[in-house]
Amino acid sequence: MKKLVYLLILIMGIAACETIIDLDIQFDDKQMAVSAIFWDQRNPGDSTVCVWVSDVLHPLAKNTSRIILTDAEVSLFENGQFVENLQPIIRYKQEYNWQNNQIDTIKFGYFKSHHPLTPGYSYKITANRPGKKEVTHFYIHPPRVIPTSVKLTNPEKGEVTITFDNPKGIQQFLVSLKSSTNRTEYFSSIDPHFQIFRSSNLDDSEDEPGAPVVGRYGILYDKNSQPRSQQQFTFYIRDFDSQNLSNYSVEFGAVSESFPLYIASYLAFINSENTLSTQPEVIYSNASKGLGISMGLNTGNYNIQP
Amino acid sequence: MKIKNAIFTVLMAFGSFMSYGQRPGRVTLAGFVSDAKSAERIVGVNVYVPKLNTGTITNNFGYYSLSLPRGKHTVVFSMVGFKSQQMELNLERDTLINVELLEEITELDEVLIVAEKKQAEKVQMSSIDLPMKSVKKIPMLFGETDLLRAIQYLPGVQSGNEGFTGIYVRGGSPDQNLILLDGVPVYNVSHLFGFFSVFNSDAIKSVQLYKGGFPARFAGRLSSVIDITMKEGNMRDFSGEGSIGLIASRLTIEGPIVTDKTSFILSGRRTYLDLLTQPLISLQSGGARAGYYFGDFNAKLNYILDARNRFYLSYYGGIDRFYFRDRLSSGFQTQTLEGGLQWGNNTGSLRWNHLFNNKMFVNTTLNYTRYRFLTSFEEKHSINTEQNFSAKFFSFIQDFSIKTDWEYSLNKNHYLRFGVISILHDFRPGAAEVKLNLVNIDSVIDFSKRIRAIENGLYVEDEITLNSRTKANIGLHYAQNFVNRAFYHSLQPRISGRLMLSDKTSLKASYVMMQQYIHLLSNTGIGLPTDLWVPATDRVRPQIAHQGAVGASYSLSSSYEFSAEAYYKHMSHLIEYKSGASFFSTTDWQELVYTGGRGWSYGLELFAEKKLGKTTGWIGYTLSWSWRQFAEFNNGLPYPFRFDRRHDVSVVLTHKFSERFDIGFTWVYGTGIATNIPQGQFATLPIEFWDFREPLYINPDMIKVVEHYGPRNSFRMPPYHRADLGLNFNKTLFRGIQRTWNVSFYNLYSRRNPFFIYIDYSNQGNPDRGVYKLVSLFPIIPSISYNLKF
Repeated sequence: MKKLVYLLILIMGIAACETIIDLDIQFDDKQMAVSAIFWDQRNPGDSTVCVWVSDVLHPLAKNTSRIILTDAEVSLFENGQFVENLQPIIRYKQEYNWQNNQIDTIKFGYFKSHHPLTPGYSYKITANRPGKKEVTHFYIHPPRVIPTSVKLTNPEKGEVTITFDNPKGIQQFLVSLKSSTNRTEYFSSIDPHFQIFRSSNLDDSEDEPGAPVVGRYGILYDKNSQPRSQQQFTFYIRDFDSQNLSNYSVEFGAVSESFPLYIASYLAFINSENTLSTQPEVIYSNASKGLGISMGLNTGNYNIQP
Repeated sequence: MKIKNAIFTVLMAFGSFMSYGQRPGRVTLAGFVSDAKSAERIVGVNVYVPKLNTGTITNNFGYYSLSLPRGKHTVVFSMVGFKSQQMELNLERDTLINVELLEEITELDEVLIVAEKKQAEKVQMSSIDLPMKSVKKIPMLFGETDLLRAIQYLPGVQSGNEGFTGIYVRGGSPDQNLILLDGVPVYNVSHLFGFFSVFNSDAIKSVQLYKGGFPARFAGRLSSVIDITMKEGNMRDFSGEGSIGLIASRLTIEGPIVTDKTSFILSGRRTYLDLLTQPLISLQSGGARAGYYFGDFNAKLNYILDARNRFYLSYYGGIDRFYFRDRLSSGFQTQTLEGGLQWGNNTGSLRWNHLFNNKMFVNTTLNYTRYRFLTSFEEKHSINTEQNFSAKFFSFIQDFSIKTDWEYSLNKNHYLRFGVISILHDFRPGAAEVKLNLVNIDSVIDFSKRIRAIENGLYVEDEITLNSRTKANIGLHYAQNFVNRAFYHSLQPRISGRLMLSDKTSLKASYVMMQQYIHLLSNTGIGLPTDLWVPATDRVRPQIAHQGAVGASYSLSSSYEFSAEAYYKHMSHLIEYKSGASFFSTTDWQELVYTGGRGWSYGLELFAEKKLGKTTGWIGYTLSWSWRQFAEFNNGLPYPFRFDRRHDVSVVLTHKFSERFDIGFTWVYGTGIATNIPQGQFATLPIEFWDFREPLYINPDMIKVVEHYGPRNSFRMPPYHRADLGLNFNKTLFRGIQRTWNVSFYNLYSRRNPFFIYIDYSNQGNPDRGVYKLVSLFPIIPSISYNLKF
């Protein structure tokens, strides 16, 4: 029905005059966008900081395949002290070029660090490249929240409850469930203080029968969260296999304030039909200088106790 | 017993209050002023006593009341467009004098000079009376005289977009305007998605716009009051006027039912684009019918019971309808598909004017108003009737209200107004009716719960004369609102004052607080029929505004007036649709909105007007800023309101070359609309694959390129400017019938004003980049209409 309303407007539009105009969009070709993720090591060798540097192209440019920049200098600072320049990890891919009918080799990649992160410390990332303006991010690593228990509270329903103390009134958490065999579902019933921000599939293959690894993630955002003890979060595992509890594990911890803001904006962006006549969804950016996002997690893996 | 005592105390207090003004040495002169030709009462007539330098203005019912010392006085009754009347009166007791003014086209009048100075003396600031005669001279799109479009030419009032009648007053949104037709709110004031207003100018007597400094008698909206009064109907002769235009025709007839006792007015308008285009549509689509039209009907009955009692019964009905119907035949079976969109207002009011005595006038009103939007689809089969199916989606808001307004001339220093209003709001924000024969379904589903709310108001205001140079209007409006389990109430102070620096110059200041218990949910902010009126609830709080203004006015002569006003307005508890939400949703609207928004606007308005002579008109300029702030948008930072307009200029001129030929000219300029267009593209982290550590992180397919928009509403569309010209060729035919040929040119120099912009990637000139394309709606549009007045 909504389309019917816009049909009339379209009819008017067709009857209207169309003019190609040259809009002064004040495009700044010296910009870069930097996306930085801070994450505790879960496995030896895992990066703790991953940085992705992107060029900012003209808004109407059609070819964006070379948008990733690998030749920038990306530096990490901890509490104001220089730590190191991040190591570029470079990969190549080949892409067919329709304009010259040739195969192009495109360089892409990211920058990483293994520097251990300390909760409460402030970190700074700077990215520089000749001809481009510096991009700067500031980030404070969130504290580790260790559950007092992760228990199977109702085996028939597959109900799992995470209990933890929250003396600092942290408001943003990540919860994920890993299962080696089962299809899983959770966040269908939660602590009333929590709001689900996102539950996402790790992998679309999970719906295929016999899919070996399934993971689901959720960001929980509780804007009214107060310091309190024994805060709880409950979720349900669909098709729960109570005989093989060891197949399941839970990842749980605090995330930075920017994390749910970015995710909400990203989801809104990809789900919207951004047109020039409506208010667009805008990707959240928290760079001090330039564009991009810095966000982080401090999580741990926990087995579910019977 | 306690109740009896309380009633007695109140009556005693009221009695002493009523007798307070009866001091020896002073008398009250009161009465009604009407048009000598039609006996129709005139709004806004200056009633002035030059010797005492005091006066008043007739209210919406032509009533005036003036406290004067006993003795001889010269009283002048004057109004632009009427011959002034000067009366020598020897007032020894309270006197009721009804005055009739003769219509006259005055170019310069000495008496008027005196009277017109009094306009600058009005305590009310941020208010403009718009004479309908001037409105009719302003050139308009397709030659259709449009009241709201004329209001857009005033400083502090901005139009939304090309062609639209949406009104944005001092940074407010369209839902914050209280638009009253004979005292009844009209919720949707536009036809054809905003290209025309619903008010048929032939049926309108007067219009007054308040942008701030609202008197306490008005409440319920934050940003403006547009008080429109319909004509009453000629008490003495049958008369009428009509017009045949390119897209619409209209006809108005008025006359006495019983001379000087009862009169009527009927006025109708309809577009006929659908009738003209129907044959083409049928030809192209093999018999299908489709079309669009809008129409209005105004009616009013005016009955004088006696010298002190008068009744008015008025009705307005308007409709916009887009329809289609198609028949498909296969074998013996015929399938009929039909549907469309339909929306419109219905309003009605019954008013009783009663003059208790020379000092006290009361108007009591029963009102009804409804705005309804309906979209429907129906499929019928001639044989397999079990496959018949129909679906409707509709929403409406309707109000029933009762109001009583009292005016009391206490003494020479105090003119009191007080009153009570009670409104029952009935909101049905979204419901569907589905009929499906196959599974025997016939039901109505309310996607959003139907909500009823009661809004009550009580006000008192006093126009105080502090000394010969200083006047003030001080009032209080107490409002309360019951909705669901929530109860809101507020005490809203209204203060405005005026200080005469000299006979020609005055300073004015005002402060008002307003509260609004309804919201409008809009995707576009331009006023589409699908916008939903919803109430403040226990989850969505009422909107509140505080506005302060200071100004000065200067009368150079009887003809020229200048004014300047600066204002600051703060609004809170604004709401906006969440991303992707729209009117057509199965979710309760309260789940679809962000609440707690703030807004503030400030600016300077300059206004120069020439009222008399062959050339009349005005020049208005507004310098303004308007901001919004929601925690959920723009990282919680303030951003410009979409219709924030830094500069807004309007020039309105009419010139009478002779009795047979006059012209109207307008020119407008406005800073471009604040909007969003991409200012770059960059790669960001996709969260569909959001275990960002190796090895997934380096997956090249993860690259997600997104647009960079910059801060919300940070891009400005090109400025809007346009000139219109109207030529009127007048002639008096037989028996006093006047005909006018009107030739209009909308967008005289064919400026390609921005309507919207889109990106076209099929750019042939540069294969690496797309281009922005701008769609402008109207080039130069010439039109012609034939008007008759008899």
